[in-house]
Amino acid sequence: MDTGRRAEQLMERFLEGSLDAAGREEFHSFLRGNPALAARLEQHLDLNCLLAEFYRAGDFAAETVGKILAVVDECGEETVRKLDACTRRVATDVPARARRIPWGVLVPVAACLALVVGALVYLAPRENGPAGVTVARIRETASGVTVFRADGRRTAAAAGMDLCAGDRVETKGDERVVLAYPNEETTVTAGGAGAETDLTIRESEDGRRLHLAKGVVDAAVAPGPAGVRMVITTPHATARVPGTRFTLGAGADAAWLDVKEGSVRLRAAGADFERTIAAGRHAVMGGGRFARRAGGSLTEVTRFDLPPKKTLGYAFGAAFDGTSLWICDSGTSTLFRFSPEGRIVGRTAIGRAVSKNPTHIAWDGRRMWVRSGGENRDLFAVSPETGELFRKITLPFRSYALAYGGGSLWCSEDLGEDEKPVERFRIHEIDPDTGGVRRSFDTPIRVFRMAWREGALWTYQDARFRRFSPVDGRVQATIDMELIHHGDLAPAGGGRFWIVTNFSRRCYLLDTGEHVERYEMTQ
Amino acid sequence: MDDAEKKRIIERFVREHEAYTRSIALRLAPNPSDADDIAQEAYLVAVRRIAELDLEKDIRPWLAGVVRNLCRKAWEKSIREDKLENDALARFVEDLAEQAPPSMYFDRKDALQECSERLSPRSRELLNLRYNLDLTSQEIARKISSTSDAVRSALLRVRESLRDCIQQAMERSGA
Repeated sequence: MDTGRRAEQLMERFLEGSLDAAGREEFHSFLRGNPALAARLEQHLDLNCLLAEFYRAGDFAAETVGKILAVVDECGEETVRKLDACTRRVATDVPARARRIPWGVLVPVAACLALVVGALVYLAPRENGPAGVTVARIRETASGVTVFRADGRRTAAAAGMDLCAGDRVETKGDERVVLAYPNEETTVTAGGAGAETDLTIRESEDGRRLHLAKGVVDAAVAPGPAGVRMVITTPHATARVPGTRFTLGAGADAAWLDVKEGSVRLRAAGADFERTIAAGRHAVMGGGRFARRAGGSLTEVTRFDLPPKKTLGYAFGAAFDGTSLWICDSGTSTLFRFSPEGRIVGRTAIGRAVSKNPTHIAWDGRRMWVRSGGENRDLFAVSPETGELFRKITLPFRSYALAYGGGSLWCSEDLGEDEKPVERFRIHEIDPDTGGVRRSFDTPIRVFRMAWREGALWTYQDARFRRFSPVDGRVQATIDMELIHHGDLAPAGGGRFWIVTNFSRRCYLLDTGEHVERYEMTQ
Repeated sequence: MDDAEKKRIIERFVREHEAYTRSIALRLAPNPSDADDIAQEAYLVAVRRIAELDLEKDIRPWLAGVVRNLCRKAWEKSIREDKLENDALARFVEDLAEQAPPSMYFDRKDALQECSERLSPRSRELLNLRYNLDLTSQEIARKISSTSDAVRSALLRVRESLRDCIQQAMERSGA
């Protein structure tokens, strides 16, 4: 075996944790003299970490909560209150890991710090001046605005007053205060419009981490070389801001955002993804609703947690037969039947009928259709009760999403190359009796999941429901979500859908409301 | 405060720091299967010592320190058990992890979902066996009638394919 291949083998064994002492020494000797191999190991460590998260996330949280609950019983209720306070205070953006600073950088940085310290000593602290390094200055202010210094002092805000990390600004009624950042055009206006506002400059190197506990800020953030120029957290969402203009509000039960220029990336507290809100768009996060768009609303009817991974491994595919929700475990080729309350009421092994790793299912009223097989070209009709195989269809293309409606099977085809992302998909209408393609059309959206409801096809991708035409693929309506990014989709009758997410290990029953036509039309 | 409220608060605390804590543990632990235990232990340390913490500050740097210490102990234990005289590889990996640029976790997680759906069934099966069922290459090889060397090479290639796909997806989204 050549050394390159040997190093790869050792790396993989290291990543899976099966490298013995001799192997570790050998692998280390390879790494020492080979920066390219070290860089490759770094990439694989990163991917290994991401994949482990991807496959194991749900169990970890549930197990950890259980262990903490046991400890909390020992420690008392006060501990829980502190945890609550701690969670509320923490900025929800993921901080950069500490890096080692090379001396070449450290020396000039130390010199700059010395200059700053010298300047601070020279200027001498003014009364009511900041306790740390200035990061912003009050440009304009109303008379009733109060500044709470990081060191506990309290003072009336005044134009020209410097602010540092840890300082907090409070406004009442229609009072406004304008903060300006030095040497650029960035301004943050807090308060106004009758909103009591509570804004804190958080600890950060550049003072661009703000926490809006309540009220409203109107910001104009100057563009710069870094992608994200400012981060503002609220109790319900985090806004990550490149150069742009926007207004962000924080209420008791929701955060809202109006973007005037550019775009802002917004993430709901507790959500595992961000949405990009573009200029001219309005977003609300929190308040017990998933989305509020153009008069429509999407409400959560119920939810339940999936069972632990040792019971149901990789949920990939969902269907609703009118009374039960069926979820396909791709890892064990098993159909799980759930009551709407989330109780497992049956399970059927389908591994003997279908090929390995089935990934999408659709209910046609009497049979469960399952996508599987080599190159994802096969569809199997099975009995969900017994696993008996009724029919097998081999498609002339590699399919992704699967739905049943209007007497036809509907499959999406990715028009990109193998494992390369593209934006174009083709939808095929399939005769379930013959397997023949009745009709095909292209659609401009990515269709990884699909469902049929009331004469239209629906997809759910990138935290967005889309209704699109089964005739020409044109998108007819969209509904934005805020907490669930990807999930399997199963129509549940009326305006309802089940969404099953393997990531967060949850099932949600969502109601799109009775007036789907009132949702914002995108075309 | 009732039990449901307690559970809700604790769950929120866990989820708030889960990605950060686990990603450090997964990088630094001597064995990936130890990582979750170490991350959970770090949470328990945090809960026990919550009274000592300055809640005005972000506790994640502190949590990271706890995880690092626990990983170091795990390495020492594993080295003692394997009778290895030095822990050079552990230090090397720790240095690598500390020098790594901050990963855009949330963007990459979304991209991974998309990219994993584009994998061939065989690649998906390999990932499922490795990461979901936690099997070693040897166990996977027995299951799919292959050799463990071939499985290791295949896993390496699948991850590299995912890496390229994730990079493309992120470039496309402007992240």
